[in-house]
Amino acid sequence: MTAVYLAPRELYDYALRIARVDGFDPAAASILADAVVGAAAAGHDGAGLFFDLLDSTTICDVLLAIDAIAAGEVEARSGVTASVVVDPPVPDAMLLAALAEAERRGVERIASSSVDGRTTAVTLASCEPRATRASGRALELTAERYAELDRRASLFLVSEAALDALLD
Amino acid sequence: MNPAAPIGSQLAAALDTRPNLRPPSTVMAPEMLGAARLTRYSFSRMLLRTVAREGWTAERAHFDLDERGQGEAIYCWEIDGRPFHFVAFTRVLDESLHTDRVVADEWEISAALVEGMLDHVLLESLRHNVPRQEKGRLDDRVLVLTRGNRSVRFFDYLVDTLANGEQPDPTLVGDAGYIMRSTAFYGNGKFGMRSFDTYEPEHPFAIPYRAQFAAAFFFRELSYDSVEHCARLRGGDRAVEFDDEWRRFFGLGNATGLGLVPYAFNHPAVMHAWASVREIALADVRAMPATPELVARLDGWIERARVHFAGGTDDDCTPFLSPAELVPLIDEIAAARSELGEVSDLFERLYLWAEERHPEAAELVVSLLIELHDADDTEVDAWLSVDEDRGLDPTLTVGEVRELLDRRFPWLDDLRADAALADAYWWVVSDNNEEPRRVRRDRMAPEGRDVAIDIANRLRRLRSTLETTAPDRQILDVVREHADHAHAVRRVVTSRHPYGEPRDNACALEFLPLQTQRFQLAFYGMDNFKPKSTDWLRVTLFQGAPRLADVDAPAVIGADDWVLPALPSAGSSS
Repeated sequence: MTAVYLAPRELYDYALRIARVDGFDPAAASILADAVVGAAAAGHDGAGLFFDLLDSTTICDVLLAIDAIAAGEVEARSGVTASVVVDPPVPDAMLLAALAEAERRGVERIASSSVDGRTTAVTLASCEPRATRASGRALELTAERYAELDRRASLFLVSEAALDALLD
Repeated sequence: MNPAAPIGSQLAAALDTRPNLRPPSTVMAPEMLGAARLTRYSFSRMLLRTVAREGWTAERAHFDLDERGQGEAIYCWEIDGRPFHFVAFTRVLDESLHTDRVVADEWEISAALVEGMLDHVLLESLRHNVPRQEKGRLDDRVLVLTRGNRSVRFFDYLVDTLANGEQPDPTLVGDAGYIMRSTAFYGNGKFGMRSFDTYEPEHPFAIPYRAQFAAAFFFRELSYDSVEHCARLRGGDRAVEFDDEWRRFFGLGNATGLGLVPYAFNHPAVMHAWASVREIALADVRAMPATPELVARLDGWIERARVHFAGGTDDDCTPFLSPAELVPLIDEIAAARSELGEVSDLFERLYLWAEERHPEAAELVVSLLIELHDADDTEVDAWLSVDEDRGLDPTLTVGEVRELLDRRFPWLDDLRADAALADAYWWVVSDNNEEPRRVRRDRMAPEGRDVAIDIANRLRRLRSTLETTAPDRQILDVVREHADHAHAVRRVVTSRHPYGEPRDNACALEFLPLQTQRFQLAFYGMDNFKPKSTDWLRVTLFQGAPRLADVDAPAVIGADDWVLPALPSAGSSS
């Protein structure tokens, strides 16, 4: 099976566009795109997880989980240990970017539980801020996965002919 | 340069020590952005000084073009023992297929900058993918992808002229200043290329845009070599090469469209770094005592600018001034400089005089003054590296976000708020080579396909909501209730850079893309701004710059005395 290599920013752009077409506001789409890249950078099939969540209409669960982590971060930064319930559970990999972002601001995951690869709860505590720089290494996708990514993202584009027609 | 310092900290420290910086309200005003000029810290000039300082070497490694200039050419930078190849594929298109737009399907020149040694497998892959441009797939050995066309007006004329043993007639070719015209220099992970983030700190191209300009340098070299090669084959023994007056005069043309605009509105940290470099230099020069040596240098630059623009045309360059229109402006600058005499604070006074004049006069004086600045380039390199944080601190309250919004975006009230005017356009990506365009909202609905650079409008809507929300509420609550505010909240929180925001509304009816574009192009080192509409323009890069043959002479390649070249004289000898 032929592999296609994508830079993280390229995968981000694809995921952002797909999320926008799916109806998400730019900020939510950006959060989802970060989640997809975070998963892929950790060796998971970020694009595949993303498609599954979109197709099963459970992608909003990821945003809810990330929002819950953000709320937990507020609590943790006040000096207490925060227990975050992730309900409904979401794929562990899709939370990696949000957890890394929290680390940059001084909140880390000290425990978590998951069922079938889906996070059900996270425990957060304050820590020294860790400015981990995202990896820029190329991400490997199968040709089929890449084609699907390209196909879905292309819906974000507007026909050149239609745009030109508006100028007439 | 301190590699251990957090990204951005050195720039922040440099700004903190300059009390006489121009305010963002001046620097980022649209009319000032639209008057920006290249300076000695533009990317093109930084590149050539780096070549000299670090002892880069260059060679034409392979050149196999036919009598029409079609074939393959390879140029190579060797940097600290590491080779970087510029691999170009050339052909001739029918004139009817020439277009400057990114959406063109075919190009006369397509090229890539590749790290490391070339082998047959890689070359074969490049032959297949590079001419396909956006439709090709590359890998992380490729750093830059570019393309362009010959100047229809000039290429054949120049070949014929040299083939006949003559030099060009400056009245025929002097106005454009280029032989070939590029349209894009893709990099940073596009189409499978290497991501900028993966360059180790000591990598020669770990400085933003350095790889693109290293490629552009060879693109220009290819244009010269192609003309001389074709002339040699056409003219035989009669043919000559460009003489000393012409061998540097031509730069690389570039056609630039709307693609720059979303970048400017989406990358406040980058905009801030670019503007800061210029503003730090200006602040330093304004504070410098005017020694006779510095005054003489300034006078020399004023005269050089006059001669350069006097050799240009009076073509309509609206909204910019044409070269011919700049000449009286330079005369005014020269007169003002003379009237100020030999005072020790001459540079400060000259700047203050210019500040009250036309923006083109003010920014021309800024660029001329900065010629007197002499910063450590490695320090400037460090200032250009930025950390583009997009995260939102969830602990912020409504009151805190509102305070940030008021402090960071005081200029919102200066923009027109009437929806019909302020929200007239939305920005879109075309399905043809992904060219950004803008479209009237009343003619097509976005339906989730808009590029979110409607920053001013979003911030205004956010402010309305925050004004009626209790200040002690958490901003997360507001974002939960109003998901459409999330983008604006993020922008308020992360836009901590004084020079980060063009003070304009990209979706407004009266928005003029050319102004934002010019600021960016000037920082690249482009000149000769020739608008072709409100949305795109032609420019020239490296005009007057040293050539590949000069690379081995650090005193020449690094002399940094090549901008604003004079138009060669008629009948210059061969």
